[in-house]
Amino acid sequence: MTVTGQALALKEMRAARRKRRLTDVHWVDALYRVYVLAIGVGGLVWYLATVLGERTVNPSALGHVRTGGPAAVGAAIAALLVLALRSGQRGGPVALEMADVQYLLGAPIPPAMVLRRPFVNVLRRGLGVGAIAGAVVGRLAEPFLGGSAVGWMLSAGGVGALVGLTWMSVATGSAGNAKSALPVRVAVVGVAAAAAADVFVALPGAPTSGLAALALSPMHPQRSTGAGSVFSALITVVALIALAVYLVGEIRVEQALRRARLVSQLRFAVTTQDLRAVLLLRRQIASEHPRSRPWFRVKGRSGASGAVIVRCIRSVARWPLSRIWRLVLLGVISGVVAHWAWDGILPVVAVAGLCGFIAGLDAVEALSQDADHPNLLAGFPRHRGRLANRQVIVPMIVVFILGIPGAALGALLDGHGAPAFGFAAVLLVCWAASGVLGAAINVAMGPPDMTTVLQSPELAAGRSALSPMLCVIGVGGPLLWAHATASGSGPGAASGLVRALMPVSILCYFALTYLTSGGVREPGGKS
Amino acid sequence: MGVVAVTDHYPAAVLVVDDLGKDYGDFVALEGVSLEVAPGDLIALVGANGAGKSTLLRCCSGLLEPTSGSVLVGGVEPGSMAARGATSFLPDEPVLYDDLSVMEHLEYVARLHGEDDWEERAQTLVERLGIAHRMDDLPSRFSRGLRQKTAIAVGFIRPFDLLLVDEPFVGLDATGKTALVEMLHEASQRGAAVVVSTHELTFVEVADRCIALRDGTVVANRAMTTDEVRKLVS
Repeated sequence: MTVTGQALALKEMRAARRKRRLTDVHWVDALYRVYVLAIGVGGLVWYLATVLGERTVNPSALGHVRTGGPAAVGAAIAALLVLALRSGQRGGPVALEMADVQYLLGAPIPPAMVLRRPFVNVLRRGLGVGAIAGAVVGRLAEPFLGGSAVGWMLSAGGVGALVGLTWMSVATGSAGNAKSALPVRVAVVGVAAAAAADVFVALPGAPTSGLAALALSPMHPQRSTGAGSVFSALITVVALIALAVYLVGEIRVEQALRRARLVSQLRFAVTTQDLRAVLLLRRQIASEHPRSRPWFRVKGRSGASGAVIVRCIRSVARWPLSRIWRLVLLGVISGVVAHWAWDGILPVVAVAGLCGFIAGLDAVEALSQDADHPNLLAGFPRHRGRLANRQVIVPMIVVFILGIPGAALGALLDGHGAPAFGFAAVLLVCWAASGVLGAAINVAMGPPDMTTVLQSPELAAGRSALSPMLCVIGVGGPLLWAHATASGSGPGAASGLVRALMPVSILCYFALTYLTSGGVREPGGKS
Repeated sequence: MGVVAVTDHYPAAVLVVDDLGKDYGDFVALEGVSLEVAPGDLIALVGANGAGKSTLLRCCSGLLEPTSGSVLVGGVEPGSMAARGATSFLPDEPVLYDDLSVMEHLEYVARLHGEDDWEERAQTLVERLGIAHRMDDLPSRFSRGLRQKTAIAVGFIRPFDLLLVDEPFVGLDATGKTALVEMLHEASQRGAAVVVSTHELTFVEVADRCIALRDGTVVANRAMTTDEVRKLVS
């Protein structure tokens, strides 16, 4: 049998498997998925329409975006492509089944023949996710920047789809060894350099700026979206996709094997809404392991409380550098969006709350380890809730410290000197406290049980969303109160600050009560 | 039972490992491993847990990239097309599709390796391994032992010059163990180089030679008795 015969075998068996999978899907299940998707997308669109629908366009901001928007958005797109290179270094988005790695990549047939079909699926995913994300961003932009909502959703959705395709192509094309990935890396570095040059010296012709100008076309940006600019952007997108199609066979088998094992587990964890498992698997995919040698050593202390605190510090001492940077980055994102929220785009405060929650999930490692190994807790002659209470102290301090750069940046962007820094400090306390406590509650509650997930996924999703929501309230509450106070539409300044801290106090009270009453899972998984 | 594709292409050694090193971050799994396996050799790869046996086999099969040194299968790198055609690797955990029956697995893998006359051999394989009565069932519903037998059948249905087997006896019943030892022996007699990583000391008596690993390095590479092996790996 020649390679053609083997290709035929591959094609026939894949077709047979696809047919079998399709016959296994019941029409009620398919209909239910459509219903869930419609509820999700519909709810989001409704929310955006009600929250943003009646805003007035800020003329100065509009002028600013018209002038510098294409370069700034282009730089953001270029940054996304650089992140795609990072994904490629970790194996890229193409995830095969273990058996495909074992038998298909182990067979004497060209790997590209095996990998092109999964790559097409990845492109399809990039196209869909990019289009939806772009359309949502377009809908968000319309109330602030003017123009028609449909126009924004079409232009931003279209560009989002192109960015999604390019992102997946860059990540896949750079997943091979250093030599095969070189062309893609060089191309992306070139694109990023052009985007940076456009930001700093207004150099025309940057492909990502062309894409951005296309996305911003409903507000008629100052930078022309003429044929040349669009042509350069489209040529770049097509070239990167073609490069990825050519290089897809160069994906490293070792990475493919690792991803195959982890991604299947990750999908299952997402299905069961097990955030802790998702976090652990994501760390494994990124090869993020605790340091063999800690950053610093801590001597043990007598007494149960001291032992718990020292255990938490020792956990932090083994954090890899990537986790520290991630928390700093989450702080920076939160600082910037808090500034935007203060400036009037209030809904984005949810992003700061979610960043705090993610930072908290990373930080409460000691508590999570206890939840992962509930039988260890059973051997301690201590009340589990009290142990849990002490396990949130160190994470709160660490998240606070790592959030300082972000808070400082937010205050600097605000430009009101000492008062801005003072408020940023208060907000940082709220961010760290609510993030860590929200994460601790999530860990203590554990994932929803499988019966609920299968029988009533909406209920399970609501339960899973509870702790992130608390984090959003923890940050959003103080910010909204303070904003209302500053704009003169709320209570007086003194009582405003007290009221601002109320949501966090309530959150702390409930979290500590929950943990103290032994909310952490009992051995055997019961709570 | 497996089809031995080539026996006279490798007059000296099918597998040549030279100063191989493999590490995972700051953990060194293999260091300075050198060995050769000639056609017809039946090798037992022994060592305590964590000695590096699975890592060595995965490097030889092309599933892991060496950090240093080299591995050659028939004179070419393990991941190359020729090496993939020559190497059959059975991992310690059976890797199977959830939605293909035993027979469909055998057909698929045989055809991927260019084998058109697979049916008769597949029938013989499933009969020898005692899974003929389950050949139209999905292995996803099998016990660990039955899955292991299916994976063994899949490993033997395709042609190979080098057979790498990682802990194949785990979960097998007595019939399965006997059948597997016979099949490994037959493969080596037909000219394939066979390397079996195992804790099963009875297999050491069947093997021509033992390669013992400790902490990622080769500590012995010769014919050994079970007592010698027990001392080396304890």
